[in-house]
Formats: sequence, structure tokens, C-alpha cells
Amino acid sequence: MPWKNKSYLLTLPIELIHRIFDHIDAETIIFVIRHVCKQLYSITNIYDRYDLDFRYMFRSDLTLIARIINPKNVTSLTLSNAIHTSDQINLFISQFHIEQFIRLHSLTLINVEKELDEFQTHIVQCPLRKFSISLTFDDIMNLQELLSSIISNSYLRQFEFSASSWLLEGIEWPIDCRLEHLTIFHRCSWNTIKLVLSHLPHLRTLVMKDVKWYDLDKTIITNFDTTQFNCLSSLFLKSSELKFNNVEVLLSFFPRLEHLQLINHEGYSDPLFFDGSRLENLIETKLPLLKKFDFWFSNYAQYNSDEITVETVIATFRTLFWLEVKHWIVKCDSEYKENLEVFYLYSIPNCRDDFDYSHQQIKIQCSALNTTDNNTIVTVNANQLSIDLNEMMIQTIQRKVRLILYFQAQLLLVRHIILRQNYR
Amino acid sequence: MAGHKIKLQSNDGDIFDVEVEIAKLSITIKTMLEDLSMNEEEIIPLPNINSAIFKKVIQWTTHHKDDPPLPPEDDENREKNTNDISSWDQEFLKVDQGTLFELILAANYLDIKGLLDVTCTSVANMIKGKTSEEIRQTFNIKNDFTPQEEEQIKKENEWCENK
Repeated sequence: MPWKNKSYLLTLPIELIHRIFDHIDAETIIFVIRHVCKQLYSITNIYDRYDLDFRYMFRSDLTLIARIINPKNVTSLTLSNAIHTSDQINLFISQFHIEQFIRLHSLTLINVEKELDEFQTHIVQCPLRKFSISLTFDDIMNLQELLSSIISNSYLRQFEFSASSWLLEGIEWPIDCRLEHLTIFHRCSWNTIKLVLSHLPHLRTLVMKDVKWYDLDKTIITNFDTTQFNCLSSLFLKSSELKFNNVEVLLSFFPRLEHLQLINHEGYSDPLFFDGSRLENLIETKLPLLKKFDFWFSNYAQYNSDEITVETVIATFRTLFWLEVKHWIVKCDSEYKENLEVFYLYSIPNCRDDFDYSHQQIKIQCSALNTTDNNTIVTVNANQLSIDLNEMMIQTIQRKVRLILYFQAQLLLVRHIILRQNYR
Repeated sequence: MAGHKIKLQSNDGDIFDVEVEIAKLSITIKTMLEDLSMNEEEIIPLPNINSAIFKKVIQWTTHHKDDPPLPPEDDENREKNTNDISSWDQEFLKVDQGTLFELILAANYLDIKGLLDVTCTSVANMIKGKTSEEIRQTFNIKNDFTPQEEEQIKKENEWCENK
């Protein structure tokens, strides 16, 4: 049969098809698009902005990719020795020569150990803009010197760090360090963070997971520290012990924030966060420039507070400030967990990057928004979604398969879907 | 100055009066106005864009005129783009494939990065989750591999599936 109709996709110039590839994961480009036709086969071979994230690939894919991809066409590389990808970094070293990745802009090494030696020389020479490292143990020769030399790279703008805080304290920061984004995944003290910030005059974004609050408590008592970090415009704090007073003191160091994210990722939050008027007052007094506020708080209902409902909580977020001035949408859910009522208060779109619907006790009882607009996108930031198929009301395998396909189609940003199913 | 208009002519002869500030979201037009010192009375020809597509471009730029400027990019520092499409843009891009690809070409010619990003993202989303055959069907592409080449690809796939 003659091929009558033209393909609009194939009439695009190569650089525009490559632009479309910029929005597609490497596996789809290599294993699917490359096999569509000869033209796309050639176009994928010369694509030079591959983002190889081996966290979500099979071991055999790594070997195959090593035969197909020219390392100079890779700009971003993520390697992980986590549970599901154990010994991946050694496998990578056996298949590739890291020094051939001459255009690498971003390198992420998760749970790297002694293999770091293999990367050292290249990391320092490479024009990296982003470097992310997660160390399971810190007994590596000259580690502080290595980190210091990586950070002194004048191209580096983004640094993500997950290791003992003593390493962070020992880094030699260059004069006029150009870092703009810093992520500290490891629990460390506020004094350490403050020391680091004092070396980073260009820092715009700070992401922290679990601050040790005790030295902030001292700041509350003494109240003499007037340091302010005026360049910082975005602060993301994910903590298991968010206290309103601590957050209040912390924010006084960052008066020019435009974007704030507070996530109480485990445990329960200070009940004061459930009071919209308190949060409103906090923002008006401490953060006059704030444009975006994402949050997730959870807490048990107090024993003596039968009058607290999702409606009474959400009512405090229906003021002019929340709806007319800031246009921030807030949602409150409640559920019964081990016979206690638990409240979840969060901004919409939901800022959490992982959702676990695998526990049978998570059954939302009541829910309320601070607006009547139901068209807002609720979940756009999810990276990992866990669903327990056993607990679903759907019985037939076919319908469950259809549901999984629905998630794949609808949640294009979700990289990792965990489905649990016991066959009885 | 806000409110001032310029005249832009599509390749099928239609002339559009467009506010300067909106037209300047196109780096191509901005450069013409600033570097070539074109005055406001001159009609600027747009030989690569027809009036139907240009109307869509004006609709998009008018809606996005107050968006914060996107950071400059070059091939060396281009980061992986996000895949978010706002609900307004999703509605805007509910068009046939011919229009979608003409919008990509127009955004590229006019150098409107935001429009180029969102149209490319839209095409990328049409590709994700599909098999090679489904992509052929979606974009009307003929499988032109020879049987020998198919065999070679199959071997690659077998390698890939042999996990």
C-alpha cells in the first residue's frame, strides 16, 4: 500500500526533534523511538543531550546502552548503589570509561563508596554544573580535599550532599563561590548550615532535610543573632520535627524568600501550623516577598478537641490573604488511623514527591478545600507512587491492569510506581 | 511603550496590529525592532507563518505576556526541561497534529522559547508510554527497515528483554 499521508514529525528539522527528545527519558529514545524508522534511528544516534538515569533501568540495559551510546553525547549521568541497583557503579565502571564523558554537566552518585576513586580525576576536570553525592560511609581517602576541589570548579552551580555533617564542616570553600543551589540531605546542625551559607554569597536555593534544632533553640533564648542571608530566594525544608517557633526563628534569617516549602515527612507537626491566621501573620511579618508557599503537615486530633474538623481547620485558610492576595489553595483531609483521627493539611498542587497508598489504614474520611475551584491540578510533583492492589475494591486482574495503564498515561512525571499484589 | 502597536504580515498577506510588548516576546521580532531600527509604521513580513498559525501565536503570547522571562540557554547549558503543561496551555494545544507541528516551527522561527517548550512537551507526551508501532501509527510513519535490519533490531531487543 502506498504511503500517502506525510508524517509531520519527520518533516521537522533535526534540532527540533532533538528538542522534543529533551522531554523524553533516555530508555524511550534508545529502545523505542530508535526502532520506529531509519530516519529516527539516525536522529537518535546523533542526539547529544542524553540524560542517563540508571536508577530506573535494568542491569542489562546498562550493558546495552554502553554499546549504543557515544559517551560524548551524554550530558547527565545518575548512578546508584541503592538496594534495587546494588553494585551498579562497579558495573558502570566495567562497561564505560568515565573520561570519555567529556560533555557531562550533571553527575549524581548515590551510595558511592570506594568507586569514587575512579571518578575523582574526571570530576575535577569536567565542566560540571551539578554534582550530587550520597555517601554510605565517609572513610574515603582525601574525601574533604576531593569535595573542596569539586566545589572550587567555577562552572558548578548546584551541589547536593548526603553524608556526615563533619565532612561539610571541613570543606574549603573558595572565595566568591558561585554555587546557586545547595541541597543538604543529611541531618546537620543549624550552626553548620549557617557556616556553609556564610561562604555562599550567590546561593539562591537551599534544600534541607532534618535540621538539628537545638542551636536554633539557643538563638530563640539569646535572640542576639541578626545575621540575614538576603540572596536566598527559595527555601525547602523537609523535617520530621517541625516546630512553629523554630520555623519562625529560621525564617528571620531569610527575609527575601519568594518560595518556601515546609514538609513534615514523618511524625506529626506542631498543631500551630493548622491555624491559617498564625501562618498568615508569620508570612506577613517575616516574608513580605513570598510568592509561593508549599506545605504538608499532619497531626492527630487532640483528645479534648472534638470540635476540630476539616471544616474548622480549613475555615482559617478562607481569608482574603489566602484566596485574594496570595491565591494559595489549601486542602485538609482527615482519616482514622488506629482509632485516632489524623488531619493532613497541604497546599495544592501537592508538593510531596512520593505517595504511598499501600497501607490499608489510609482511608480519607473527610476532605475540604479553601476554595470552590475544583479544577486545580492536585498532584503534579509526584516522583514515586506506591499502590496496594490487594486493598483495592477492584477484583478483576483486567481492571487492575487497566488502572495501571491509566496511571502510566496520566502520571507522566511519576518515574517509579510500586504496585503490591499478593496472589491468594 | 505599552499600548503601542506594530504591523506584522503573515505569508498569506494578512496584516496584524500587535502590541509592541506582546510582539517582543518573539526574540526574532524584538531583534528586528531594536537592531534594524525598524519604525512602527513599517510592516514587518513574516514569510514563514500563515495567518491561522499567527493568530494562535498571538493568542498564546497575549496570555503569557506577564510570565517571568525564561533564562537564556545555549546547547551547552540546556538542562532537561520540565514536563509541566498548565491547564490553559493544555486547552490551547487541543489542535490537530498539523497545527501543533506548525506551531513548533513558528515558535522556533519567531524564537519564543516558552511556546517552543510547551509544544515540544506536548509532542513528547504523545510519544511516552507507546511502543514503536504505536508511535508509527500516531505520527503516520512507515517502517522502512529492511528484513535484515529488522532482524538486527530484534537481536538488540532480545538482548534488552533478556534480563
